[in-house]
Amino acid sequence: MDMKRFEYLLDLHGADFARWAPDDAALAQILVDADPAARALRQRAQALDTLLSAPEAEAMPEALKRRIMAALNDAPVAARPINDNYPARRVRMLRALSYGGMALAASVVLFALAFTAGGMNQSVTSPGSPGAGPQQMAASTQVDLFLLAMADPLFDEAEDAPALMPARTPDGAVIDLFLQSVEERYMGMTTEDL
Amino acid sequence: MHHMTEPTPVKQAGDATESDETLIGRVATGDRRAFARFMDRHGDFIYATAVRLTGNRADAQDAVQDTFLRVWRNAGSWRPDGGAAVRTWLYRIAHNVCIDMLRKRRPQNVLSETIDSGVATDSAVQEQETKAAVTNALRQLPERQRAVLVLCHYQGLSNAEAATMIGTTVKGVESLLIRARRQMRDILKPLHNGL
Repeated sequence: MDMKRFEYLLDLHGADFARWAPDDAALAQILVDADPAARALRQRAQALDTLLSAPEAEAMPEALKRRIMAALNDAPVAARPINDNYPARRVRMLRALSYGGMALAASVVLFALAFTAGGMNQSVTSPGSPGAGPQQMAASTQVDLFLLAMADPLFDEAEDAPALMPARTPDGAVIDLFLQSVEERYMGMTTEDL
Repeated sequence: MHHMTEPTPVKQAGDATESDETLIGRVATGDRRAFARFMDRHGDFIYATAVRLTGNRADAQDAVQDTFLRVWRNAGSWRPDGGAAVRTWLYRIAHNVCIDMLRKRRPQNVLSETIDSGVATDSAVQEQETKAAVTNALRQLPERQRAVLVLCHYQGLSNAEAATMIGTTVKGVESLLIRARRQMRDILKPLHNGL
């Protein structure tokens, strides 16, 4: 395990190796035992863990429960649907689009590269909606997802992220892998999440 | 008119193990006792989450009330087949309510209250200041970063559970978690030399 990977995992799981995958924890322990810089990074993560634990959990006040029970009289039961499966629906839709063809993927890459070369706007907007303005919109198209990936300094740190360069070649298989990874990582995000 | 159905006879022995699905089915018929039990079961989780997401108790209480009243009104729309688990469905409602509330009240800026709060000599005061600073730092995170930090770090959910609750993937949660911790570290640096 190198230092970059160690720092990535510290930021992901915190300093307590019990929360890490066993294999990663074992490698991390070896690194910490051998390298003072690794120990310092872990101590920094421990300090953050300690600070984050400051606001303890509070139980729901009984008075609030009583208030809610009393409010039921004014809240008629009605089987009105709540749109809670919206993200899943979007993922399915994007999946259908994602693997629609190599030509589409290649054109998206070219579009994204051209867009990036011209400067990344701080907002991700959906293509085809020029009036959308600067407001934050969740990434839902391949172009959105590419732009988010390219704007994200963290993307290169993720060990499992396919390299960006091969995805720019006309090699369809590699592009598909890249699309899949980008979709998993950025679906529904906005630049505000970066 | 709301249902004024009297609670159905309660299975005293089986109460503790009555599933969420069963409870929510009874809530859909207007069973107040089932609703109360459902709220007892999930209230602490939703309240603690709301306090951390909104950053203050007053907003959290309003959000929790709104959440459970939505559950009461919409229990009939939850479907066991192929739908989200009840807890996931409940959390999504709570999350949306909290986020809506925060968006309406976004102009608030409480950072200066904590970071510039002066030198505390009394340890209790210092502890309170630390809590306030962490709470305010949480409020400064983007919504989804805050949500995954609350769910995974504070509420102890797995990344997979958190992903389901906020409608993203495990990799998306990991990415948000890393950003959240890094941003918290940056915000809290003035408080702690070791960060």
